[in-house]
Amino acid sequence: MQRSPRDDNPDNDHEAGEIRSRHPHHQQRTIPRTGAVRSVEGWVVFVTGIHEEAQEDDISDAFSDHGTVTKMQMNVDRQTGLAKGYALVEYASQTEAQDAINNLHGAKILGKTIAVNWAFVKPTGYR
Amino acid sequence: MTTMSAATAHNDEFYVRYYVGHRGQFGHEFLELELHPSGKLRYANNSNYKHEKSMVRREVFVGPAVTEEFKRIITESGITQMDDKNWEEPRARCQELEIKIRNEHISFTCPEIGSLVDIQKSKDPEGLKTFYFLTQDLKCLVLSLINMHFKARPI
Repeated sequence: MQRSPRDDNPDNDHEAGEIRSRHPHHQQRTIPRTGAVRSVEGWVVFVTGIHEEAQEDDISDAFSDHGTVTKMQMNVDRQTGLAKGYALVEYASQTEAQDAINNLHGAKILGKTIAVNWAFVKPTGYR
Repeated sequence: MTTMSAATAHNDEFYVRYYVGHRGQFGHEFLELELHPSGKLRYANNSNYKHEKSMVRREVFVGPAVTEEFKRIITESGITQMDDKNWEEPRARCQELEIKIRNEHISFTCPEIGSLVDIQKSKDPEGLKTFYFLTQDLKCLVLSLINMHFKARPI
């Protein structure tokens, strides 16, 4: 996987990188990608498609392979107490976060496919 | 053709707004969250508890995956199949939920729900239970997003 030299500059919030996962649906993605923005203490990715029986450790183990997870929030369904299906994972650098997106988008946790995307983006053109 | 595509674009626009608040001895205390079709997420929380005005307003643009997750949570709750016609009118304490999703548009109001006991005693326990848990799930998601983006860890 080629990594652009610009990826290593933490102040550079350029366009989010290409998804390089092997997931078959990637070629059909039509949701437009806008530039990611940094949060107060790092770069946050948004994970969806989490299996309802997943535990926080399942997420933090997978995501720790791609960098140091500085913060994580995996919420539960208020009615069932099971995982709601999403989590927020923060890394200190954009490089680590991009690495997590590239490698874990389309990966499986407890047999269910997760999606990993930027949580926060630059303002879009309209209101 | 232009009209059709405009209609389709309009149908794909997604909007959600939730408000809960009241005016009481501590002023207008409220929490409000709003997600615009553009991805702009707005959060406000106001209280005058013990004469200390504390107003928090936050705004951030969320990525499309986040918007899709809001849609999924709302769709799976079944809220758009509910109807607030048998719900009590809000009085001093009020909740408002407005959702526009695909070609469905709901705008519900009801009083603040204290607990599940209040729901059991009402005329539409199924509807209010759906409302209660959905609003909790929405608050949870919004607060996590806002805190992750804006709140620094204490030293």
